[in-house]
Amino acid sequence: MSTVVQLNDLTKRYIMTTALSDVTLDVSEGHIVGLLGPNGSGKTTLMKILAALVSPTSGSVLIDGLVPGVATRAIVSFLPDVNHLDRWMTVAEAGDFYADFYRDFDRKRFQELLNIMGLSMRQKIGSLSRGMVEKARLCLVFGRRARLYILDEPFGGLDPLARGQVLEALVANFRTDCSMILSTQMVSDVERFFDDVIFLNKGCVVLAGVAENLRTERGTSIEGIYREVYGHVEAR
Amino acid sequence: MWKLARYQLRGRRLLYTVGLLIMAALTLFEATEFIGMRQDPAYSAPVSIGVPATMAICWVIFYGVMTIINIVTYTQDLYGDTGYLIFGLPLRGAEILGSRIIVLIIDTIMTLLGGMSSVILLACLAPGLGEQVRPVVGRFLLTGDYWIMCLGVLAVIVSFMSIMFFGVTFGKSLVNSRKHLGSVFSALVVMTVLWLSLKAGIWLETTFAGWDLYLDPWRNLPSIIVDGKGPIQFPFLAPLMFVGLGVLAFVLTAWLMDRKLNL
Repeated sequence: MSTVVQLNDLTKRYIMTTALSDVTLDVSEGHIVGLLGPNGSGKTTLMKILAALVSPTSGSVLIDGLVPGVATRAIVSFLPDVNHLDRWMTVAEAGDFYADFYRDFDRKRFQELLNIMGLSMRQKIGSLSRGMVEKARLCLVFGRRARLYILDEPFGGLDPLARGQVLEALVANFRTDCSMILSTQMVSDVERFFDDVIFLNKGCVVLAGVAENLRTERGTSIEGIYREVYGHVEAR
Repeated sequence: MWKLARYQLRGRRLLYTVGLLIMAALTLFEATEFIGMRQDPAYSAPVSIGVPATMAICWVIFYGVMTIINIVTYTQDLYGDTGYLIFGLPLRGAEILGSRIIVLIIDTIMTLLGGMSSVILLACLAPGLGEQVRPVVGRFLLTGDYWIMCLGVLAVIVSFMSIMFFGVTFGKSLVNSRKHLGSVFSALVVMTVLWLSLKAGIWLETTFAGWDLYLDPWRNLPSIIVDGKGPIQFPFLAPLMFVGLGVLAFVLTAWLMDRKLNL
């Protein structure tokens, strides 16, 4: 089993703040990793660095042995926590856009995912509800046969029913030759899918390990551990 | 790069359609004013030339709007949510910036051709007006002078836009998501670069004043522009330096995008 992501002493500083401080961790192939932490803990910054959208201040980052840049963007499929699609696009045009720029985009898979989510190609992004946009974005991200999937709060606009539907579809489509890093506040809904968990606080890793081992060691669920670590504020 | 330019053009198709329809309507409106007009020696050419001149001003406004939209959408990409789509693509900074320059060049070509078409359409619909205007404008529009002038202006505009793109990107690479602070930095950078280039341009022109480094290919320029006092001369060194500065801005912006991006 190879390592898809390797971080060593990764630090990101802005003018006034330190977003990440000496983060060291590995993500293995075939693993779904839960990146957990309260708002402002550095989750999004870490994901953006992995997606080559933010440059680190110091430390090393390797994705499949490559430094983040043009080459890694071709193998990393990133879902930001905001709607990144242009409002003028239809779902079909968004699919065309991904197919034009990402060689690993599979139109057939995209169409299948759209069918599962109950979306039509003709619908305009600007006319979709927040939940529908979220579904369309997930179809685009998982329409790619990427090496690493990075999902930042993917279930924000989804109702509980849709959330379950999406989760089932994602796990059914997850391949063993790729990895996924998923950040969410809805820990209880997704914790059963986590292989590994990383708890971040104020830019530092406060706890990390295999999800099952952590549950056994602490005698509680990942959500319970979350409450222990952060003081029962953020978990739902 | 070409695919991204095509995508940006697709995003602006509604804007182009509306803009071109307005310009066509304006041209037709101007033409109706002069339909049936006959060539009249008493009707002075400087009065008639006001019609194509008005059209030219309208096309310059059209071009200005398109150029402003170009820089605004780039800023929105950098500071807004769609940046994840554009800057997350497996493309180098130079390719992303290049697509913006391609769109700018397409806007320029569209404006030049649109302007010429307007004049030709006016002349066809109102032959009397065409007769009045032809001796003044016709011999310039269909000569190499016009296209050389257009190329020169295009080079300067592309350089100016490259400097604008550099300013916006530099501001973003410094302060991450603080849009207002980034805008202040961007404006400061652009103003400083333009002020320095103006000073350097004046210094160059003064220093090499005796070297006769001027261009005067504008023998066919309409007399209404040069005021009938003989061929006009254009400085050569200052625009050349400005274009060099634009190239430098392009290279630096591409480097910032590749190495220092902070979305």
